[in-house]
Amino acid sequence: MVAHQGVLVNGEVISGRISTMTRELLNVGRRLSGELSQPLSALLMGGEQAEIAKEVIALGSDRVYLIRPSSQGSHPEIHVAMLTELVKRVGPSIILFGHTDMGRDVAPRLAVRLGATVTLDCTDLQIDRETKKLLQSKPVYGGNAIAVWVSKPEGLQIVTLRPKAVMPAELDLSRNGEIVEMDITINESSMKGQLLETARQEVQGAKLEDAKVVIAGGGGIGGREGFKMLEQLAAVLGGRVGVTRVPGDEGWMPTGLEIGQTGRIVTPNLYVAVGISGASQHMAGCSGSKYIVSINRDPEANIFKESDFGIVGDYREVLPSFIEKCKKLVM
Amino acid sequence: MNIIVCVKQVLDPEIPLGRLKVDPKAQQVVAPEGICPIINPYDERAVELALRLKEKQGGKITILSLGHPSWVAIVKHALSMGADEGVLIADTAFEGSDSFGIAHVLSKAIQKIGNYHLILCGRQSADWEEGLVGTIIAEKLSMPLVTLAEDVEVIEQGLKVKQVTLGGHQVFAVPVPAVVTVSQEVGRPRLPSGWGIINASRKQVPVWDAKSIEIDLSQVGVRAARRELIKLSVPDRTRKCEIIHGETMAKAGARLADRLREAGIL
Amino acid sequence: MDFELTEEQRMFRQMAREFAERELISAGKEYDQSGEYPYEFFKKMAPLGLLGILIPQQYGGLGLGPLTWVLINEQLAWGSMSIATITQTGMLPGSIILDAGNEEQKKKYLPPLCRGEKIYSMAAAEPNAGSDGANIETKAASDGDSWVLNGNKVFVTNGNVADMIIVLAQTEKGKGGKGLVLVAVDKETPGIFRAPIKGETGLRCGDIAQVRLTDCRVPRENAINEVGLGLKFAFGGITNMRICISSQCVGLAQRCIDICVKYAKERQQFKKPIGSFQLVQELIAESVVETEAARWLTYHAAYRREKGLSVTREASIAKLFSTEMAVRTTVRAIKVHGGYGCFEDYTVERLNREALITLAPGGTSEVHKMTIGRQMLDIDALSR
Repeated sequence: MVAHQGVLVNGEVISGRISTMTRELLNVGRRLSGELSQPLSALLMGGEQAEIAKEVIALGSDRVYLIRPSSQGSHPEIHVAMLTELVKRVGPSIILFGHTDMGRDVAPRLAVRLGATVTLDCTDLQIDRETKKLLQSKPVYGGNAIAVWVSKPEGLQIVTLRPKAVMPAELDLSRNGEIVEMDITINESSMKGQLLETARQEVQGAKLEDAKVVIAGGGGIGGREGFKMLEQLAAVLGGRVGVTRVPGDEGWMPTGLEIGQTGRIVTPNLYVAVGISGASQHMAGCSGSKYIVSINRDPEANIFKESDFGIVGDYREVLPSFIEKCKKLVM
Repeated sequence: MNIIVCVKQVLDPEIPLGRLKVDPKAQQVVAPEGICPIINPYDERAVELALRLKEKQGGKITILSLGHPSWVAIVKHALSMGADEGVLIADTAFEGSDSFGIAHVLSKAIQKIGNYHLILCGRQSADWEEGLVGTIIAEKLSMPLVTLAEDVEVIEQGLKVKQVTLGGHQVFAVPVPAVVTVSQEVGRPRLPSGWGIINASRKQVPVWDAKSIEIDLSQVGVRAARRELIKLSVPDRTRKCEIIHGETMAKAGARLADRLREAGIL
Repeated sequence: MDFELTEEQRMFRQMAREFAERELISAGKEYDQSGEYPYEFFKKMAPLGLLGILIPQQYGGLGLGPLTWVLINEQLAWGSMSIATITQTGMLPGSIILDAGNEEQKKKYLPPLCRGEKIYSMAAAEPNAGSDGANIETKAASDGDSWVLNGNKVFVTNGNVADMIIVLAQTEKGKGGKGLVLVAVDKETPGIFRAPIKGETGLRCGDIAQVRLTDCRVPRENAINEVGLGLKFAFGGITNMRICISSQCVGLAQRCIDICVKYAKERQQFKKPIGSFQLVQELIAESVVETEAARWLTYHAAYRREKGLSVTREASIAKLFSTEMAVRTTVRAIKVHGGYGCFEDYTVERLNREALITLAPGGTSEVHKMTIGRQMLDIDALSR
């Protein structure tokens, strides 16, 4: 077993492109490995990744490990088995995952398998100057507080990073690096369970996470009907509609549109929060927005402490004229 | 189908912001007076899921909780919803355990209870938000694991589990016994019925200590914890809100649009 | 004296509160505006056992005592006074059947009540006999194997929707209390005519009937217990209702307080929240004190009822105080809201209307004061 050295980024490829999350991880990884004076490497799972591997090097990685996919596809157990094997050979001191579907499922399993420490959904990662240990910051109590964890024993530290917590890395085509093909076979017969089906929700146009404008509605909307006004506004501004947990729970809108700590994280240019109180769990999903505008009847609502602009009033009275004016202005 | 549901107690995450105070020295979050702690909302949904399965398949639901003796209230709450039995594990030796320590104790307790087909946990707790215990239990007990379940169906070969993903969902098939962590998409948990409450209040909830589950104490408690909390603080709020006024709400709405145009946002 | 709730009581209070938050807060406003009878709540509350709280489990209820009933009622009324009243009012005929009925009657009437399948009502008051309860004029004439009923009843809560009405009738003129009988009259019985009394200020979604009985023939076995005991059992049921109304007033008053606290923090005048004005604080503080007092008077009365101790006096005191203080609390709440308080958009407007209608049922405040007076002075101001 190689001694723990180096930062390893778990890269994800989506539709033939390196994911934005991976770019964010490479940005952080570059910084951390620089502070540790250790190499940064990345791993990519999947065939035909040579071109992408070059891009990963340009984004900051010193080395890229290419692992051939197994026939079973993306069952987390397969990832874990492959990664376990890779880690045994490579011996990183830090592994960075994105807090994605795959990351949040694989990272904990891997940590248990390897006897590592693990912290999920980090919003900040720093290297302690003296101990050289990784300082793992994450929101707790629904975002009411920030906890900073440090691993006690020497050894492997695994973390997942919250999407959009940092900026993505920028391409530097002058960078050089090494591409290593890893031959890893695992015993698939010992896998317990099968992935039967993967379904993607039908989304017209841009996904919520990529939208430049998000109009979000909460409990204050009062019912399915009220969302029609939000959909109107979204159409005028070229945005998408999101929700907090209440409309999902009540069945007014699909739960897949939930923005929050355990839902989607969005960072639009403009976030309009309508009838939303601003509970931390929800703010975790939208606090990265450039501008936040809120409409709420309760002047004490927390949302106003997190907004740039606000109106204290009933959205039913405020929105129609707001929509009309926006129509004129965006013409 | 026999199910064990792991539950814990937390401060109510719906407490209005600002009422939760952080004590940085003690590294604790302090609840305001008069606010009662509640069952972890994700765990409550795990209980709800277990009850739905019991309605379809029959079997026994056992509620398992590792905490303080006062946590009997949340076990009783789960019993009043319709679970059959409850066990509370409490011992000062467990205080300060991290997710690995907690999972170690729960795994031992699960083995002692025995005769189970499914272990359910909430996906994470509403206080420390670690999201690890379910996974570690699965690893320790060498059981298949599916995380973030929205629905579970019993099939011939075991279970069909619908997992929530950011882009939609995935469906896994696993043999039993299995561990499944439960996400909020399961839906709102049911209210206990009056008869449920009466039955639950009559039940005894045994309290097990470290000795009765034969725990290796080197794996639990503060000393076994693999990480240390070095800071707990309140996040900075950097935005300053400009409230837009108007003689009428309609005028305010129009003015807001103008203001956003001025600021270069529209 | 143990003032702590038991684990079971706490769980019931919690469940009732959760039900109120999920279902009653919004429904209370909707039903008041629409005036529609809240049938759906019978269906929602039956599976939770909330329609038969005092009725033993063998007849489909929960078999709980008045103290737990009161804890539940307080939370239900906090959500919606009207819906709490409408759904709990069945306990009056229910407890009469329970206390006075024979086994056959209990088996026939109680389970459907608990399941929400049937609604029952109690007809006692008459145009000329409201406070003067023993002097009712509705006649029950014995005729072979039947009772024949003739008379007029007013203020019959749930009277129009009821599947069965228990009628308080006089078997022998001039006999007073000793001649009274309670008779169960099914809705289909020929000779019973019901009409709604509309326009009640609170309880807009409720159902109040006037009932006319014209040669209404019912089987002899429909009498609930013996002649002469009618008043005693009617009274027992009414004592329960007095305690129930008290607890509902406590819940309603608490809701007022919660609304005012929020409003006083939100509403700004002179660039400050109005909660920073001393006199606004006084309005809220007075309500808090009175609500707390009413709460413990109610719990005490319920406790005594549960223990089988004499409770006439305590129930009277609790009802008198709780209803009057609920009216005062809602008026204070309206004052906190300034000009807005009298508008329908503001919940406190409705709460005031709902508080007002609690003054008369179960005995007017004036009757209670004279009852208490008579007890203390041994001088009866009522029947002189």
